Amino acid sequence: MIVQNIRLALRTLSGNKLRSTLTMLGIIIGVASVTTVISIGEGVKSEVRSEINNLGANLISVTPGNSVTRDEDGNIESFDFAASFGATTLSESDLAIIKNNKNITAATPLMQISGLVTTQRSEQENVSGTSIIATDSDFPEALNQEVAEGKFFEDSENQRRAVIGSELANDLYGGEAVSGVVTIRGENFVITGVMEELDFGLDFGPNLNRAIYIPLEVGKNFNQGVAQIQEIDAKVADGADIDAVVAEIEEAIKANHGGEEDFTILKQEDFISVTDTIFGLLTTFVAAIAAISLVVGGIGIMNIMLVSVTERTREIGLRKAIGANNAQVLMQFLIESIILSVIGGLIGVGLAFFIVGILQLFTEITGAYSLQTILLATGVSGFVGIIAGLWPAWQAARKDPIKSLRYE
Amino acid sequence: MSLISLQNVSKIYGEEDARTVALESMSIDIDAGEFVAIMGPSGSGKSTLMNMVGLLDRPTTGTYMLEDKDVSTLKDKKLAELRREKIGFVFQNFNLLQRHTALENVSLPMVYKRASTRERLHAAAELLEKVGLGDRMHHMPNELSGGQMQRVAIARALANSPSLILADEPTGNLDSKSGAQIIKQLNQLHKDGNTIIIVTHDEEVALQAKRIVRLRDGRLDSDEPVKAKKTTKKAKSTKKKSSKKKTEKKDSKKKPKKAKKEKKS
Repeated sequence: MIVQNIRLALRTLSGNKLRSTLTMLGIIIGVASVTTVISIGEGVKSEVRSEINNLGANLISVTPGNSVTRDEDGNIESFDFAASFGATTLSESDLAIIKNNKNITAATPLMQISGLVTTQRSEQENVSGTSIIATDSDFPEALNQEVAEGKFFEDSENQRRAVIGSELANDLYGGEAVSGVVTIRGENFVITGVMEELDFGLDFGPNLNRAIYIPLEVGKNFNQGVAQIQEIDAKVADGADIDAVVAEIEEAIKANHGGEEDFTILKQEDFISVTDTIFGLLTTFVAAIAAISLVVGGIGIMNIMLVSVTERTREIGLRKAIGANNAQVLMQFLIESIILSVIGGLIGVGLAFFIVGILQLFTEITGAYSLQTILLATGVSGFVGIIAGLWPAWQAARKDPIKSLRYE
Repeated sequence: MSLISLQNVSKIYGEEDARTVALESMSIDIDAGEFVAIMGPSGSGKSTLMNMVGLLDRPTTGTYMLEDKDVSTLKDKKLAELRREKIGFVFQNFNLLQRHTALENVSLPMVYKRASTRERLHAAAELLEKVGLGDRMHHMPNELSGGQMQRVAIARALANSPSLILADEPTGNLDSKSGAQIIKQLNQLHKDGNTIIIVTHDEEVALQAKRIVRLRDGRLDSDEPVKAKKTTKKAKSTKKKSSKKKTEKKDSKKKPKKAKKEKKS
């Protein structure tokens, strides 16, 4: 019976292709927009996730200011970005505490320095889009990065040495950057190494491929000899319990700060959960707006189904006369409406594939599809079909066969 | 034992001022295998009677026994089931589904019986052969002539081997030649043992039946068998006779009722 009804519905709908297509349009647009938004949202989320994982899963970051509120289970409840700005509360003694923890294999400070960078390659030219970061020799290991050419500076070398990002190296020296010279705030630095290229699809912080790293000791000279540490990144030894290490360090730094918890330690998990939360919210919000078109699509289907029921009054009368009961008539129209909607939904999913494909070609956005998204889109459109079809189908089912047979 | 037995059946539409009596205490028995024509001017209640007998409508009062079962108060669902199993309809305007082939149209009643597609199409093909449309099975209704469409409709009426075929003005939309063919077809079905009730305006068509029931103002006007072979002339003469009889109808009307009551007791 269901199979019969589906076949019948397909035939009825294909008998009036233009009308069916126009009716489906609302659902097509609705499902396509929701699916596109969700898949881009998922794509960004997984992008961020892989970016974070690039840095190593056992990276912890200590930042100044108490910027997160955690619930009882240690999950982040809220995030206060502003708390990490301003004069830092982190000092070199904090760095030493972290470095001395036996479960930390590497810990490195990050001190961002403002200043103009020039090169003396041909004539003096300003280098734009770079950030100057003072750090130490633990940097490559702590952040899971390799030196592609030359070597990273040693801590013992309290000299004007610099390591630069791969993109900057290409821009300035066409790749052959080692032994080159850059001028930072009027002082010349010899380039000793070039970092490997980092594959960050989307970047929220400074572009590390254009960064210039200089020794912390030298960096301090630009700041009246004081280390202004904005972040300490540390790598927990493989196999160690990250939560335990974090707790240990937290205690130690707190003691060092006279009992004040004026800093924040974040694990990679926290970054993932924070970005998941932010993008999850964003995706849900945009998808909810897009879902309005689904509602409009549903109303379109209902409208056309009502027209169709009226047009086919005689057919309904005949079907009843030859033995269809109310439930069977109801099913016929309900299935027609569901099919209309589900086909629209599938076309919508296909259209979303297409849109995301085009976006991927021309932008850096990547979409992620899960079977879940497709099933959800189909399920939702089926649901819309049921809701939209119920009333018209009921109208059809309760028609009086005698009057229907006489209907002109 | 009668196939159909209506006893004091009335159908009243509306209430109070808008009250219309479509049928008034009608009693009639039709046996299995009969070929009955129902005649009467428009508004005489023949459509109401037809709908009632066809289980599309319920009597307001009185009882309708179909195959000795009281069907006058059944629920919609049960009525639909009985229509499917017991009754085959033939309509004046054929009522074929336009986007379906002759074969599919004929198989339609079997869809609601949940027969398999193969079964249905096979049975439908046989029925089309029976009405002489074996070579038109895959034609769409708009590719068929009026007479052919009506034959498809007749085949459809036969689909679930019903106990009763109800034809409502089956020749009304046809030219006389096709109409004659349809009547011939119905006659053949009658000879095969089917029970046929035909509603018609056309005396000539009615004379093909074995019994003519005439209605007037929702009441039984006359109910008499058709005698011997008839021609157009004879048809006209019977018409005159019947109009003459109208004056005597009050007496004659009571007689068949009494006769039936006696039969039952």
